[in-house]
Amino acid sequence: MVTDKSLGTTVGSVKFKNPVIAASGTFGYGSEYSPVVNPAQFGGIVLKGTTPTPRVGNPPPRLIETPAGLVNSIGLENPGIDVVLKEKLPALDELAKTNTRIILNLSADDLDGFLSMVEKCNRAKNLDVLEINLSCPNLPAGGMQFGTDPKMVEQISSAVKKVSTLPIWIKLAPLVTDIAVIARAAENGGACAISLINTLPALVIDVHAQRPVLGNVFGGLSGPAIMPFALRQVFIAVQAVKIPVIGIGGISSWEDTVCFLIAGAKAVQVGTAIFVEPNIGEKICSGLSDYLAQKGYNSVNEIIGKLEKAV
Amino acid sequence: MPISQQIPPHIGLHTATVEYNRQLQTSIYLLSLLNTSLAESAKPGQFITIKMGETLSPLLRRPFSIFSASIVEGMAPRVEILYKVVGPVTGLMSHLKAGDRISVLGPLGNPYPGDFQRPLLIAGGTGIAGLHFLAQRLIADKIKPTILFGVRSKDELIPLPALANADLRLACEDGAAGFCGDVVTLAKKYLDSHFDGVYVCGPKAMLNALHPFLPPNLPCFVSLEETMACGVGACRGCARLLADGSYASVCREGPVFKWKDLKW
Repeated sequence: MVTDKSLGTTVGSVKFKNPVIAASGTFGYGSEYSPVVNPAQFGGIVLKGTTPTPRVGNPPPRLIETPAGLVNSIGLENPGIDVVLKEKLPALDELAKTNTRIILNLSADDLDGFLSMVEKCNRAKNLDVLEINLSCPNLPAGGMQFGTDPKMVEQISSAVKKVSTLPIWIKLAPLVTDIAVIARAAENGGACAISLINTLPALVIDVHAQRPVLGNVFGGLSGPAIMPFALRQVFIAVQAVKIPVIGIGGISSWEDTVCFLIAGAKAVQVGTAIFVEPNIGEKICSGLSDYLAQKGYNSVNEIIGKLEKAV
Repeated sequence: MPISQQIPPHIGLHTATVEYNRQLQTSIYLLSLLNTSLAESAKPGQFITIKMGETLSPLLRRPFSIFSASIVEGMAPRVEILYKVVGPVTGLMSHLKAGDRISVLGPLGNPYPGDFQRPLLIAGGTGIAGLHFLAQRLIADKIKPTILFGVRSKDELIPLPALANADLRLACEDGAAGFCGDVVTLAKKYLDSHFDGVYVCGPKAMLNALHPFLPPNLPCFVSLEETMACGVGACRGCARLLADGSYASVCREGPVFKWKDLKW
């Protein structure tokens, strides 16, 4: 476990022991990977996207690898907010003691769905932050539609913020005309931070069957292939808002992490890379520590936003 | 209901050393990996995932059934996997040499359950891998399994010296050896006889073809293959539809399922 004090970062009012967070949907509910690797390697973990009622998910196939990427269409399979609060969060007592922050990702088809879940979360244990997903590409209604309309983003951010006792992060859709406008909408609504990007909408075709590979036709592209695009969107968002930005998108190494920090992200989320290397949090922190030492920095905070100052 | 929700205690992230990588047929290889923890904890039906190469493409780990695991005094503890070269990952694997080191996650998933005295094992293609391991353990327990092993052509026939004491019947669609035809046609001749349990592993088309002929009262377990990402039940990517309309993760709730729990 990395305990290097120089790696500590702060997102709004929440302190993280290191800037590497496991992204929603890639680390389950925090316990699935426990027999393989120590979840406390991460500064935080974002639990799987949760909805007001249980969802069975999309028909398989749900996954297909593409060049340096992965297209998924899980369809938010989850047991629903009540089971998550009653069974999944209480199972994280040990992890909570390690100061790994626990973040719950919430998805809903409408505002009422979000509000009912947020209200329930106010009484939850082992929960530090709520990440409101306005960007899921695999939902028939809501999801990404919310995230492309600035008025909707501001309205949901504002309503959720009023009800919640926990800090609110808004997770943004990547494919919008101007990410700066959407980022500002979340900020105006009162979001404590924004996280971006979610997966990119994608289609993969089986040339022999002449049909889509995925059971749900479309999916979301993640992995190293999307990293430079994610970095661009994050850099633009950082310049557009004063609230903290969490960078997500294809991060698979300490070098990628440093890029996002230099671009101004206060922390990063890793996802697909966990599937490849379940100990990726440790590896990134180790590489990041060495980088800071070599460059003569005392804290990771000294490199955050370097790019903004450089251009 | 899944056979077990419990993750075995021995799984982990290992670096394994290649002992050998034998070409058994034009495109079929037997890879031996030296790793004490893996060899000691692996059970028939379980699988490992392998990361090939340091580059970003191919990206994900790939799952492979365990063909055998042995701890023999005076010999290095090893696990063997059987693979067919079908894509970029197995293509890279075919170039592995003794002494190479690779990242292995496992053993993962639930093993074959059951305590049958007269088991019938039905394998199609590389689906023989996990059933080979099961047959080895059955033979060690003084149980003589009947194994039906089907292949398309003689290019897929492989030596199985460890099964010399089993009742091994081949089905070869090109007539090169054993029964001339597919393994489902061969299985039909066996399924009405005296077996008290059945284990199946093979391609989806074979499983679907076999389904109508399985006697409903005969306990039957099947090991499934599916594209996977995490291997531990975190991503819910390797979904299989169950009879009750819900989905199970092949990696975590499987890969071995009760036949009747699945939607066919």
